[in-house]
Amino acid sequence: MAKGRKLGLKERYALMTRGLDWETSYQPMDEVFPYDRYEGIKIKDWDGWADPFRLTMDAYWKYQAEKERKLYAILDAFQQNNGQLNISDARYLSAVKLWLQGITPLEYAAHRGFAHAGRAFRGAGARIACQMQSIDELRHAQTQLHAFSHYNQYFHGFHGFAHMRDRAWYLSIPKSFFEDAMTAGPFEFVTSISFAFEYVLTNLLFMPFVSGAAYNGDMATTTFGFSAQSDESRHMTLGLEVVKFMLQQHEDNVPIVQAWLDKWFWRGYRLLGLVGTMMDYMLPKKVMSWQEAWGIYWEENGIALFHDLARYGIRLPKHHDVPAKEKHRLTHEMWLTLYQYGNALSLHTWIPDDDELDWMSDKYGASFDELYRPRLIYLREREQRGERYFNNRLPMVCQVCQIPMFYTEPDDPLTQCVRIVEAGGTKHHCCSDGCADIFRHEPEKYVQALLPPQQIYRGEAGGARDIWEYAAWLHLEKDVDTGEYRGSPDQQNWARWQQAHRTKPADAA
Amino acid sequence: MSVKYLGEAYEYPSANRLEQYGGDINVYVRWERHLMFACPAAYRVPVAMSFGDFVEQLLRPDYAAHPDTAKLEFARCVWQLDKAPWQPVFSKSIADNGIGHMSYLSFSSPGLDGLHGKGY
Amino acid sequence: MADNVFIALQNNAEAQPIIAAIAADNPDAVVNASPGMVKIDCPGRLVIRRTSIEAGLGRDFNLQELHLNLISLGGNIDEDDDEFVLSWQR
Repeated sequence: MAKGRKLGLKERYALMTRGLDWETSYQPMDEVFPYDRYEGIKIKDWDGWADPFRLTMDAYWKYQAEKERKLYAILDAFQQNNGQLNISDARYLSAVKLWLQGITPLEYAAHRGFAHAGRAFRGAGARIACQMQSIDELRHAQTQLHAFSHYNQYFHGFHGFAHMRDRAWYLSIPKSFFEDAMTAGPFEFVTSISFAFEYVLTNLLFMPFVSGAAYNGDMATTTFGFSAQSDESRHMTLGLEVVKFMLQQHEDNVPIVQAWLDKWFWRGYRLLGLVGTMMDYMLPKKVMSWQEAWGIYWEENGIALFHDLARYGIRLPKHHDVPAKEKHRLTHEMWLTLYQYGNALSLHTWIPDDDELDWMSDKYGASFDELYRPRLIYLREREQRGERYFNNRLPMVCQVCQIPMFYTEPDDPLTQCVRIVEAGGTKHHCCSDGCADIFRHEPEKYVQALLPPQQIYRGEAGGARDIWEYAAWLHLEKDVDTGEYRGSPDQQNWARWQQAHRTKPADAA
Repeated sequence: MSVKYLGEAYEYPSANRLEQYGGDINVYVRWERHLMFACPAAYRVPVAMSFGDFVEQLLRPDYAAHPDTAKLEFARCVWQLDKAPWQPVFSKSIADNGIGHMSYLSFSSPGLDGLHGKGY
Repeated sequence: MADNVFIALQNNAEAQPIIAAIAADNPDAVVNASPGMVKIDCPGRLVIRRTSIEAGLGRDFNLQELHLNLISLGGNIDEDDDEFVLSWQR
């Protein structure tokens, strides 16, 4: 019997995964797939979709199962060996709390969003990629919860993440980002999340957090991060493929995609300010500065990508020059903001030590020494004389990104940037030209935003009348979950455990 | 409109309407060159409150932490309403001063330029 | 000058033959190690060859096993049984 020629990867994949769908005859295709045309994206031929990672379901399960086995073995070892004692300092956990509260719910939201997209596209290849991603994102939510749960036994501020998701003012920032994407159509959703967030900007999220974990002795988070990142590489390729597919299918798609890239580059950049601030201020052992990270992961890698897309008629996103102007000051401005609103945060803030200030002088140079070091020194002196600075008044937040409006004008670091935008006879406020442009493009959408300060003033935060009642409504305990790090139970416990960890057992004399 | 949508119409009211406030309004206030107060602050204010009471009973206590506040005289400040030059009348009400829902007030304090005179 | 493509891998024992194979097959590649991660940048094009990995690993290797140690990448992907290529096309 003659042996057949062994099939190559591409042929095997095509035979195993193509031709399994069909044109419906009981109902028109447009009734079966009602969501994938209203955005105006025109697809001439779904067979033009190319899967860059040719994973069949059996390969998917096999590799994912192997990654899970390795990850949970490491988490077991971490827990059994009191891995929480090996972190650089308990201040580091503000980064983990930020992630648990701000990112983990987004993983769950992504799971839901990709489940919807995985039903919405009429192309089978796109549906499968979205369905795999939906499972990946649920995996990320679960593995993050498992990785971080150990810290909840020893440190404060972790317990309330689920309760806080719909109630905490600062968590409306990531939440509104994702809900903006989820309330869009499937093509915008995948462009915003898979491409803009998980391709263009992902390295600015994962690399800082996961490298930060590695540098600061957090084996649980490091291991979760690297395990999840390999899923992310699939997500990245989905994002790039969807954008190239749309651009190749019809020239009418180009301006639509360009508008989405403009919007989601800006929204992603605004969200990532929290990550930059984490890098510069919450990591006792620093990986690199936000300014350096932006230089590598956007100014080198990101711009290389847009050079590649130029052949389709895509240009760099609008306002891409603004992050370059802000990169030397963004994190200092943001940390000073978080610091003052600390009575309503489920993580601690503090003034950095002198060696950290010197690191920032080295990384940021003259502008740090001129503008921000003096502020930090002044706040330290206040704290030392018992007048630690807090601002207990609600801030104005941006109608689009929902971040408190601390941003200064791109060309003037001493003037807060406020843009007034009108819709339906009402005035609203945005933090920047980037957000104002987004508002003006879809005002009917953004006037519906629920901004936490407004909700609180309307009595929708359990009727809370001040920051103390509000924090209680968030299930936060004053100065235990919230407030200043120095003197907190987390800090006192840490000092005690480190002392016990170092003390030798009593020997015979 | 630019929003793409499925269905007959896409018309939704603002989530922050005047009628939800029972006679009060949202007002936002920024003290220029005092970045210790990182953001413009948000207030819920009765429209019948006098502007003088507003600045003394609501703003001044919020500024207590700043060394400049002891010397702060609101009547000597230079004011803007929605980024246009504006002169408040302290004896008149919020409403009679032309301040409405979602108004944005900012003021500079000549001679008081923030911590170390550097805008903080 | 071509923009860089890159690949980042976990810096564990399993990944060492992969990293070595990439460095040997891509003379212009720059390998940077940091805690837990190795990032490899290369101008324009980077190729990962199955046979090169197998020579260092001492067993058969399926290129899809890259998923187990992959952290991140940048560039357009072209993949078959023998080569995994990252490139920016002009």
